[in-house]
Amino acid sequence: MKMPNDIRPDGRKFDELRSIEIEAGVLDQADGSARVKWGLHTKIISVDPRKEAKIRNLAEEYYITLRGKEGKKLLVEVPEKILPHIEDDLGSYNVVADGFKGNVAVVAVHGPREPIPRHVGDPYRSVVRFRYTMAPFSVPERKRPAPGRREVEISKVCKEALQRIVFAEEFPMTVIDVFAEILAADAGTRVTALTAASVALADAGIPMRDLVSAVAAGRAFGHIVADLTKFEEDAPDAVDVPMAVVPGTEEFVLLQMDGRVTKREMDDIIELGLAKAKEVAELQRKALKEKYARVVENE
Amino acid sequence: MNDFTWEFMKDRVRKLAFKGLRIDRRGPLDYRPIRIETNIYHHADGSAFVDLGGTKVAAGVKMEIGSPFPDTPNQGAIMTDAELLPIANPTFEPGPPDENAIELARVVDRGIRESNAIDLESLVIEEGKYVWLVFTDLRVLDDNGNLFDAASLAAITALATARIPKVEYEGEEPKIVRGEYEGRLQLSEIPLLTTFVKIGTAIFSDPSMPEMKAADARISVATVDDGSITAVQKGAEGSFTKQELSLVFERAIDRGRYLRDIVKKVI
Repeated sequence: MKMPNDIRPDGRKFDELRSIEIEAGVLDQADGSARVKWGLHTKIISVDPRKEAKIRNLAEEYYITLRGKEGKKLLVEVPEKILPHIEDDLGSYNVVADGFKGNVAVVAVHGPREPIPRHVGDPYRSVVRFRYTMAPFSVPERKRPAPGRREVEISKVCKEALQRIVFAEEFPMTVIDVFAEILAADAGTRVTALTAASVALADAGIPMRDLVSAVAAGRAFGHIVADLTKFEEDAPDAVDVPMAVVPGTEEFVLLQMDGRVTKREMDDIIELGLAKAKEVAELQRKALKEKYARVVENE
Repeated sequence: MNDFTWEFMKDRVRKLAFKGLRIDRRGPLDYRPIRIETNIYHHADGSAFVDLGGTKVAAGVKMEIGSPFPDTPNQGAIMTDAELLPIANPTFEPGPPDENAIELARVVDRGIRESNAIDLESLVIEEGKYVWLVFTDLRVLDDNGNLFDAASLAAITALATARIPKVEYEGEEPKIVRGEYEGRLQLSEIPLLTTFVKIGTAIFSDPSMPEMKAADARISVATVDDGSITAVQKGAEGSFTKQELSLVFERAIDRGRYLRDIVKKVI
């Protein structure tokens, strides 16, 4: 069976986000916090090992991965949404476990608090600081714990995006420290971290103009798509455009891009990203409401 | 909470401790509720998330191919790293691991290493040339006291659920096929740390944050299934008497059994 024309390698539609689960107020020691799980729900299935060659072929086309042998069975991880489309190719299989393949970020906000060192303080406003770090086990090859140039750059653009929405002039000579830890990565970690960060800021009770809602859009395998996976980021024609939007005013406060596109494609990517960022905003609001419902319940 | 409120809390903890009571009404040996999730970070070869009464630690195991140490050509190696992320506590600063993070990693590591729970000779790929290096990384996310036990629970659960990556040869050299596995990492024992604090005349298990702050001294003891002790670390500026130490060891063996039963249910 050939892949249907309107389905992506993980079974999503072109404009469909991965599953996004946001929880606010997950840490006790932080003034505000959030965890975001952003990815694909998968099934770990076991198949006859004689099908190994066939499955390796399928893995060229679909976002499925071999997980090795367990006893006499071959384990394969398959996104739930693609499973019905490749069932004929797989033949008989058993579901062994549920899995999750995606980004996991935990974000904490400390502050507004005293600036240390003192010279970072601004007499007219609070200064937002952002530190994005990755756990060594969050990526395929163990990453050394010290932050690299990539993490420093991501931290900078995220900090600038958040500075825009905080009513910073209310807290002169303070800093608002935002710390984001990536525990699992599968393309789109900066938008996952930034989405979590704006929920954590709201959870900390810091006055804000609006949320910042982040998402990536781009091109893969000849189509303009929302929220690329690692598989799509590795496509020969891949273009990835992470962006962050203030949903109420439709301002873009983070925008990066790498790849090669026409102006027309770029316009389409931006338009798709904006629409998807608004979906993310809905999920952020829901998470914040759920947290306060929980607080009221416990009283 | 600021320094001033901590002073009040400490005072209250100490006053109660003289009556043998705890601020959260636990018995002296009681642990706070424990929640463990396994295999949750998909790029890790084994992983765990532990919530011990609000103290939250994520652990991930990564296996890499390396050369053996010249004096042990027939052994692989295990390594444990910990970071006290600034996420976890407003007083933790960004930057390379400080003395507290290094102590935490080394004490957790010793408990596992000295128990010989992992047979290092089983980690050889080609004697004298290629061995497995097993990295356990601990990411402390929320510090509500007793990081040692939470980190130890997370590390051992991640190791117990870890799988060995598939290896393919490129000419003479073995290379890892990421995402594919050939079997489980074998653990012959479940070594676990159990931590106690001494507050005045009382000795309490599983100290919460206010108890950590009010403590005169702290002691962590790693034990294994048969009741052997595999690592000890005394911390903080106070002291223990011989009688107190003997009592701590006895309780550590008992509490170790309690924690081990919890771990065995999830691995």
